[in-house]
Amino acid sequence: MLGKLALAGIKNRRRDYLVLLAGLTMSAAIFYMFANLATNKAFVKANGVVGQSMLIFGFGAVLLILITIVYIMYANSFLLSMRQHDYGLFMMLGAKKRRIGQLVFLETLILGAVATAIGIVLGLLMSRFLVGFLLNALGLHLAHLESFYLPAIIATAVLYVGLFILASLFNLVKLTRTTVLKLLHTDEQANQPQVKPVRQMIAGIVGILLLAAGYWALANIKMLQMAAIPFAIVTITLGTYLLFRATLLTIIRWLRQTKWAKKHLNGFLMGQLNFRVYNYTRMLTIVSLLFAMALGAITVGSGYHRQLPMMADSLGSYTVAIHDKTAKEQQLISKLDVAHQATYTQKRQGKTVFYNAAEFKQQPYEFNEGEMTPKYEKKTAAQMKSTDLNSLDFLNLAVLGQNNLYAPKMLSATKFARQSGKTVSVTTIRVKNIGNDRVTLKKLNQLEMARFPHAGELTIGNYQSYELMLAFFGGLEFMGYFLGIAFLAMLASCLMFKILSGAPGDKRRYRMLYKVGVRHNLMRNGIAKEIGILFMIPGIMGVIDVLFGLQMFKPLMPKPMSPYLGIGSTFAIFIGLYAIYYLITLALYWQIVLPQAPAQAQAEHK
Amino acid sequence: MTSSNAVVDVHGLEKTYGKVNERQYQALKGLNFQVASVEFVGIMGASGSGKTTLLNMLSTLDVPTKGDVIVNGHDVTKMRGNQLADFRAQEVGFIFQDFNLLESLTAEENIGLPLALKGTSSKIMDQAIHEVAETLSIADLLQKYPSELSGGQKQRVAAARAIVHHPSILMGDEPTGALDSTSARELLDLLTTINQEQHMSVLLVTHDPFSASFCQRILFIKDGLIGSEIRRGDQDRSAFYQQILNELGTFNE
Ligand SMILES: Nc1ncnc2c1ncn2[C@@H]1O[C@H](COP(=O)(O)OP(=O)(O)OP(=O)(O)O)[C@@H](O)[C@H]1O
Ligand SMILES: [Mg+2]
Repeated sequence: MLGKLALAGIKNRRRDYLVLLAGLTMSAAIFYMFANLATNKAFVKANGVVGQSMLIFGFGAVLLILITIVYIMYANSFLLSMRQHDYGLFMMLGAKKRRIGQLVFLETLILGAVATAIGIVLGLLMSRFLVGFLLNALGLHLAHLESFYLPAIIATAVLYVGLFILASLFNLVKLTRTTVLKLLHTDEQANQPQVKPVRQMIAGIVGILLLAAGYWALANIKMLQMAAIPFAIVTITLGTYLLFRATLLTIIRWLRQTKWAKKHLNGFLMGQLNFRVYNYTRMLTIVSLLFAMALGAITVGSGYHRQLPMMADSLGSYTVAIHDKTAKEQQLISKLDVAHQATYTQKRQGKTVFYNAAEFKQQPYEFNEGEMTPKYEKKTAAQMKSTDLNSLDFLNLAVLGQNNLYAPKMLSATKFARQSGKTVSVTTIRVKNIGNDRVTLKKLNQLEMARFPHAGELTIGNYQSYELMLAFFGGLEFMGYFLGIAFLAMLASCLMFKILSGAPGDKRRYRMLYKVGVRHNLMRNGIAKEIGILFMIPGIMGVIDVLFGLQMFKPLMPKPMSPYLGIGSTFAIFIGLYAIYYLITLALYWQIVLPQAPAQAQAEHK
Repeated sequence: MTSSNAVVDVHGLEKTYGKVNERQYQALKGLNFQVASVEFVGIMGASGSGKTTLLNMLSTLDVPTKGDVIVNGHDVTKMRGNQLADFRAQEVGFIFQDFNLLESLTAEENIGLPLALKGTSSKIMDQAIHEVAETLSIADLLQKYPSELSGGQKQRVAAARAIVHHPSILMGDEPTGALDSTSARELLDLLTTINQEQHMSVLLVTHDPFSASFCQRILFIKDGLIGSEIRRGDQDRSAFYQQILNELGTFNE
């Protein structure tokens, strides 16, 4: 009987349960996809610097597990907040606590098991399509990627079911320990938090210290190794929480005293915030953490994406060198966004390659003299020194065999004309941005390699260096984007929980305001402000976290790359996305919470 | 009947619930009545007779299907959007059975809300709040939150909020419904005081004869129409109470 009642309660809140289930399912799917990548040794080995790659994926896995735990805790509190009124009512009507306990335990566990099962299936499908799509978009190639991988399934199932058993136990203890009255009136309880200035101060200071410790750990990841991540997550989470708790309440209390609070709905807004500040503190902490993770991961991913071509450019002077170009190659070349192009005639004789100085007068050869960032300098034959002639770039234009290069020699036009040997024309091309011309360059390189194969360890031109680096850092780039999207999805889902759990109470309150005669606009603006504040605080905190946290990627982004280079545009795009998400959330909240004026009747009334 | 000094003037008021192509229910079938300035009027009737419906029309929370409602010279049925909100905020004070206090605000902030909406300066606001709190003897409760107040105290705070901005009429829908008899009596005395000392018209919906006996005039609603009407005149309250009981007896037959 009680079981039936409980089911009826769930049916009544179908939408909320769907959101909860969707969130948990998505989280399990993400975890499966990542576990699939990280635990698949064949895959990891094939795709990175062996030794380091396990560490990198291990680090990603630790991060994801910790966040998953936090996320499930939050989702569980949402579940509990949905159910406690019902269960309180059952208890008041005389249901035994033990029976209620069983129900709660079962409900949480079933929900968790269903979410895990669907999540794994979804993860399988997503591994197949989504990961492939993402890799394609990034131009990465990851070998040995399979969607079905049993150890990953087991890992996901064990972690999730384990977490849900813990959550069920927690709910059981929590519900059976709380008094019936409290369960029934959670929504109306105004827990007016006490303000003790000294304690607030101490909490604030401790919070800042913890944050500093976390940032320090991230900056010194080389020294602390893997321990830095869990340490930083714990300290930053706690620090953020304490800081929010100390400052938010004080600021709200202070604002409430001002004249500003006595205008329009400002007082109501402050009252709302003050009323729920402790719930909010938790939510804001989690959201700021997820915000930072998502932004950080995407910043790193896009950092690699942007900077790998740059790094490749710093290595040599030309992107590709094409020998005896064919019509098909010429066609491809015409598609490139070329910054510099020159064609020289070679005469290869014995171990020497001869060049015509006159050609270098007409089209000086471009050297890259820069150390970290490219610095191009054009030189004619007369300007070239022997070091220039023997620079690796220049030598590479004529490959004799494995570890064997022709020795270049410059001849005057008349001598060159008389020189015998095999005549080869070589075209050097430097494009403006390797990343943009990736696809064309790839085809060009394939055609060239098919005609003039050379040993694998030798790279000719920056494009080949770029490909080599992609193999090194591509895994990291991919992980950045992947985790970024995963954390973003969790963030969206956390905010959705907040909305759904806050909406019924707010609906009632805004209905009251409506009756008292508050203008529709004023209520709209009030909601926009409240939700806006809820978005802004974690956003700001998240940006600060990222600015400090990027330090940890310094060892993984060797110079001339830097985790901080060009982050402006990434931040702008991310914040733009966040703003769009804010607007969607706001529209949803307006729809749920704002009282409807009796417009229908109005229309009928003549 | 003249309506020159009427605060509320209702003409041919009809209300049908449900859309045209749905199942419809006519709750009000053409009501006519006035409330004079500084009058204390009660509305009685069986459950489901349309009392709340009527009050919702008067306070613009809902829109009539037909007929006119004029409150303090404003034709309520012609108002739209912000006008409606402003009308509620300025012309009507409302006391609800379930108090309708915002639990996130202190009593003081709750009371000040209508003034804040008008944009009153904080100095005048403080003054008005303390004045009304004095009148309703809740000055010592101002800093408390609704969850820290008893039902009777909550209703007095709600009453303070309803009159702090000096509306032209105070309406109550079963305001004593959730109160014990002592608290109920205190609130009714209070309404009488407000009516007489602040010269505010009061419209009280109730099904409790004791509450109704505080009124000067009582309208009985039956099946969506005004069935009858009695006046207190010079009688004392207990006599009027008796008269109400008698009327209810015949009315309900
Ligand atoms: N929103 C609505 N939709 C449809 N019918 C309604 C609606 N509100 C009220 N009614 C119907 O209109 C009639 C009058 O309702 P109303 O709430 O005005 O009664 P009441 O006199 O206030 O009763 P009570 O003393 O029980 O509060 C009732 O029959 C009710 O079922
Ligand atoms: Mg009613």
